[in-house]
Amino acid sequence: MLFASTVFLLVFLPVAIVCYYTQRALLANRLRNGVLLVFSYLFYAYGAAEFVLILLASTTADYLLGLLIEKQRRHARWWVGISVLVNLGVLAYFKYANFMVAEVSHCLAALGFSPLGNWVAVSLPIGISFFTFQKLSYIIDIRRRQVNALTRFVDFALYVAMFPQLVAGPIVRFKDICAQLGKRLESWEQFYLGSMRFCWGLSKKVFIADACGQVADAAFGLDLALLDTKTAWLGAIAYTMQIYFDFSAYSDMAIGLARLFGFELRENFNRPYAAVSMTDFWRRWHISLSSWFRDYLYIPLGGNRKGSARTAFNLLLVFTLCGLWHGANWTFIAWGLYHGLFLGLERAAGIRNWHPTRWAFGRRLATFLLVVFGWVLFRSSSIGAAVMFMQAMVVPSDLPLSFEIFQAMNHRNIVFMLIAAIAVIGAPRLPKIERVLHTEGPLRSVVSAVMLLVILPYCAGTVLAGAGNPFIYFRF
Amino acid sequence: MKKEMLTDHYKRFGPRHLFSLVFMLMLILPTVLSLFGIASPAGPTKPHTKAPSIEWRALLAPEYYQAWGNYVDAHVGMSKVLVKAKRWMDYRVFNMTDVREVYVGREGWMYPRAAVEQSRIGACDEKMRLRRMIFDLTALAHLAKLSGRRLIFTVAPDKTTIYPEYMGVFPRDPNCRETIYDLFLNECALAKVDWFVRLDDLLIKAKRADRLLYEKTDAVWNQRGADIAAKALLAAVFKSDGRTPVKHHDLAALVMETTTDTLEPAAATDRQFTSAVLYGGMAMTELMPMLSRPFNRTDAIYSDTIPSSNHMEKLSTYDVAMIVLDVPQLARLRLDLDRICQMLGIESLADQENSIPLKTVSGQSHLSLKMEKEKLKVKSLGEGASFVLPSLPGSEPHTLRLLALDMSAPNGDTLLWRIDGPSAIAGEKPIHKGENRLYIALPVQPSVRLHIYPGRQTGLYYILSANLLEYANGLSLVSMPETDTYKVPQPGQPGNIGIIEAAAPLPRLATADDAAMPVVRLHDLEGMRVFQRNGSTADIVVSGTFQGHPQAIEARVSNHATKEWITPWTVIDSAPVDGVFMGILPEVPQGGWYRLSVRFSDAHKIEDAGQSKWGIGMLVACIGQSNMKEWFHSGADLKPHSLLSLHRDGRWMAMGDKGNGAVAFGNRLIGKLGIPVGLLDYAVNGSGLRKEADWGAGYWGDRSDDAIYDRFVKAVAGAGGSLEYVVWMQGEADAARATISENQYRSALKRFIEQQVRQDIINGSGRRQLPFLMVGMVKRPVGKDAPHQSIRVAQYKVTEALQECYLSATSLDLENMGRQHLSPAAYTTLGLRVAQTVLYLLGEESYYRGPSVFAATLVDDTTIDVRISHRGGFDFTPQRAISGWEVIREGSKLPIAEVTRKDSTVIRIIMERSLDGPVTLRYLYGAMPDADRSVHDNSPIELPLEPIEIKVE
Repeated sequence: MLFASTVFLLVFLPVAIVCYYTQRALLANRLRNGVLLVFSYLFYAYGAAEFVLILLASTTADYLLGLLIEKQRRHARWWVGISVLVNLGVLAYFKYANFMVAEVSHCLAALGFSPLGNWVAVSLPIGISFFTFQKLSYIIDIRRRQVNALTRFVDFALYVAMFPQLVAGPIVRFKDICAQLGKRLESWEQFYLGSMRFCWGLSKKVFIADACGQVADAAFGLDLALLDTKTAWLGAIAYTMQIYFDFSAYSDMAIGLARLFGFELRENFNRPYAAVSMTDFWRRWHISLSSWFRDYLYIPLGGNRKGSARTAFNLLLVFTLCGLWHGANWTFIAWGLYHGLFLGLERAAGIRNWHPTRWAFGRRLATFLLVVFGWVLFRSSSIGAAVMFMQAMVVPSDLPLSFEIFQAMNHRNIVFMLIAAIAVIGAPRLPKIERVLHTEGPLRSVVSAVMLLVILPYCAGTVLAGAGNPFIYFRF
Repeated sequence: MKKEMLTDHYKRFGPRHLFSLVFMLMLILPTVLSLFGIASPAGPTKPHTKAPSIEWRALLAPEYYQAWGNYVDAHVGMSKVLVKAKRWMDYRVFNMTDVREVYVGREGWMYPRAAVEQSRIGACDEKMRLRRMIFDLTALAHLAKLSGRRLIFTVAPDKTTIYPEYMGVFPRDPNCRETIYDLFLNECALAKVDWFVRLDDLLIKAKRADRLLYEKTDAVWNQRGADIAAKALLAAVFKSDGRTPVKHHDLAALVMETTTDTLEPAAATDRQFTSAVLYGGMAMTELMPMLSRPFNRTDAIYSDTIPSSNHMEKLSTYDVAMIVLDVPQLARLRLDLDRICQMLGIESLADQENSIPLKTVSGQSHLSLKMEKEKLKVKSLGEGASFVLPSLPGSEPHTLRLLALDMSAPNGDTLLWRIDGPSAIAGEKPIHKGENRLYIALPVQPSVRLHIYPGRQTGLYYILSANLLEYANGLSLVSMPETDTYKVPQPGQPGNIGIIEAAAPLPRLATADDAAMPVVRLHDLEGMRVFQRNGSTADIVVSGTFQGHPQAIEARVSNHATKEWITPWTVIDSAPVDGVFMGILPEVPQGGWYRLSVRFSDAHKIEDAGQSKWGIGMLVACIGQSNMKEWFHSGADLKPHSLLSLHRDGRWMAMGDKGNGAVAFGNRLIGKLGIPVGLLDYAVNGSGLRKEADWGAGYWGDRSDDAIYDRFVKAVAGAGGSLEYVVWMQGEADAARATISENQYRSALKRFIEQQVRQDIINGSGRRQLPFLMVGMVKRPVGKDAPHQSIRVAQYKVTEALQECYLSATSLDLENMGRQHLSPAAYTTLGLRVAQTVLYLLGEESYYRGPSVFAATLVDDTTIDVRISHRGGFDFTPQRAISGWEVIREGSKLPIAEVTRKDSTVIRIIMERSLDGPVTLRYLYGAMPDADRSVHDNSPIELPLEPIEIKVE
């Protein structure tokens, strides 16, 4: 189910809230996790009914393994191994099997053998990348004795499947939320902040991300022979805006929704385009994923403690896997390598140790441009297409603007792309929405009123008209 | 914690409480409104009107959620208000819209998006096609004039042409800046045609005089624009006879003592113009009231094809034909010259008619020609085969020449023709099985070499006659320039006025004169093809090419696997010529898989054997909508028999594992009959029968080109043109419309069977008519009872009213999991039921329908006994708690205490309360009857009791 859909906005969410707070009033919160779990599974079933049993089975398996790890500490390593193997095996099968078969077939064909036949393409269960990582964090945290295994199945199942973050993150670390599963406070303040954060995310998605998305889709959809420098840059910048505003909008909505039910999730973005280095960028972009890779892969591999060569290897490996996590395509792998490479270079050159204010503008601009080129890799359908797109960006050429770009550049899209640009450029100086909402006063009231009385109805109208686009990160 | 919560709860009411409540209110309000019935009604374009039933088993089925999603989308309260508000804001604030069909230009001017896109696309590729169209129209206009009629043609300029200044600046195609409309105007000007009324100049002139001709928010002209167009069109038809007294209904003119013109035909003619037909698109709407004034009768037909395929109008009954196209229609216009010429009886108008001796026709490629009495026999190897007529004089300025060709074809197909030379042009024409009369207008050039490609399929054609018709004073069209290049349209591509490649010579065949090694090459049959049997055998057309001097060509059939002979060597062509042989291998016994071999009769070693598997058996077409489509796709529980073949998208292929219904059906038939079965999969998801039920996928009653029915008929023609059975599973799309009555559906279905299917498809069953096997419409969790019942009853009644139309299966007892489609297991059952009907018709089974109710009587004031008669079984289940029965009085259901089996032929219904009068008893009624414990007999395939509605007194 999409957050930006009629069923979610006008049926699922209100019914879920009413049921949750009804049980709170009548049963003193005894069934609150159960109620949320039922709704979470309904939420998942609506979009991927055929995979509900996979979610349930894998949740049950990890729940039992968690208990076993805690009870049989001597064999904990084995249980962790099984869990990692099963989780990554399932993820690999659903996410990468088609890719692997296609690549093997290509190789066989290139060598003159007959390609693999009769392969029935596997469908990707929505959100599998996210809930698999969450379950792994649970298992590993127990193994590391950072948390205790949950004894109530409902609590664990809710941790895995909680609908606000189930299908597109943020990846919630168990140690960050385990306390809230048992004890959390629902309050008017929380509810208010959650609802406003949700509206904020929705408006970012509908107004800005979709506007940028239309321009980016038009540019990336063009015949590469018709792409000139200005169109290529327009497309690349538009996609850069789109992916940030789209994904951060989803994270805002997830954080807001979680607050409606008393949960407090960690922030997933911290103005990434204000980063002054690639290292800084990864501290600000998709924080839940980057910190997961850092804590569960990079540091166990040795991090930066085993010499420069090993550190470089670790970085490349981690970011290659990070790229691969996004999808089964060479472009994602190349994108991961690209980031890994620049992180390694920064480390080698010592730039990451520079003071943030040193040459801040130049460094910020350079980082932004590197990120933009990275997104071209990420967005392109193939490495070849990405190279040609980048070529169009750097080799000056001038063709008349295509009709598709003209159409996408309507007044609304221009206005909101400009707003997006201002938000990105002025990021360090603009107040964060959280600060505005936490500060009592007229500004907060005005912002709230506009969001509820103008933006929310407009967004609902967009959803009902079927004019919105799905979130980018849904496919990961 | 509790204390904290309570404290928080009772805190002073502040902004955060208010905003939280407003947030909840905004989310809840639409749903609450729809619960109270204050909802946006389901739009006419949304077929889902009722909530899906709650089904726990369906919770793991994605379609179930989709059904809920559709229902919510259609029923959310305030949805229209919210969407309207959003679109108002987009339009007013941002000067844009999300509606795909509309483009918003400057100052809020709206344009059809398609027109905007077309206005920037160069259409230079269309030049020769337009030229050909103009030439045909010129010929038609002249013929119309000769018959005392008038043909007037115009194109309503797009809003983008008249008001480009509000559109904004768009890049144009750098290679070709002329749009199709520009090109058309240029070509008309070049040809100096008199049948074309140019409107853009008139409209622009009026616009400069500050007259608003297109409203800011309309796609077509307003009344003022239409008025200008109407005057211009009428002026082209009529001439003014000067100033005559005003008529008495025009009071203003009467007061002012002004005069008006009466209208007389513009051309010298001996008839008055009293009736007119208008063809075209949207622009006709505003024109109609103005154009209809001078005529007693005016018909408007929205169509791109002239004459229209659906209206069956007779052009000869009209005095004036006006074609008023929207610009996009220029690319789609299709003139059926053959039908028009036949309707107008143009032979009688010819100044001269010269017969072309058929012996002067020469073969070009992949065919052989032979005179047989007065006819020319053409053995064609199919695609690529062509012959050429002798040089003919082309049309001249002031002389129109047409070729009229009579030919008979073995099957429905598409004929291509091509004229080389300076005005190289080409086209295609549909041809039908049997005799066809074709007309080709010859271009303006000294001599014309006309190449004919008779069809894609191998077969025996006969040219019966070829005549050159000559009409004087006909053309003002200038000769076409020589400098264009053309492409060959492939058979089946739309457009009978396409241009084909002049310089695409087909590979020349070796002839008997060649001194090469003697060799014979079989034109192999398509793999997995099933030929429709005729009785227990079929005649197979065998063809191919050869080098050398064979006395005759022989063919035989052998088993593909064992190589055993099925037929002996048989001479199929006793006098092969031109390097092409063709003949019929008669009475090949049904069975398969087979392979074909050919050889020289006088040199047996010169032989060729085919590789393809093919067979002779039964062809069954499966048509309808999504449930029939799912019959081919749902479930993979059965392994298809090796003799089961599938015809889909015009090609034969082996049946895959998917499709429980199709596999069960085919396997059962093959198991019993032992012959190959070919299933033709031409169902279309979401298709209706009537036009009102066209939800975007098309409707079966549509006879226009490339409509779903046309595609089906062409596919059947490709499979041989003959079928043994047609299975029909449809009705949901018409029921979803909820306004189609039983009578309307019944008459549409009868028309479909009698006037379409049985006219266009050859009956290969050996029965009196092509058997039409109906599958009763399935249960549906969406929609109301009455429309579903109407459609179902209409289907049952058609099976009773038409010969060779059978209710092959009812499906109300089958599981559909709360969704639109049956479960995979249900398709298996359905496949077996339909197969049972086929076997019954073949005399292999003694029954095919389940038990039926023949009487219902009141035993006492609370008990009804329903008597059933068995067909295949002799008893039924379940014994108790039988479901599906309803007792109705005055529209209300009366409570039933129990329904049980009394004995093997009686079902007893016990009411909770006494019945005080006559009631209506019904079984399996409505959209979604409760059939969980419905009645099934004890025959081997457990057939269900048929639905019924009867009065009990």
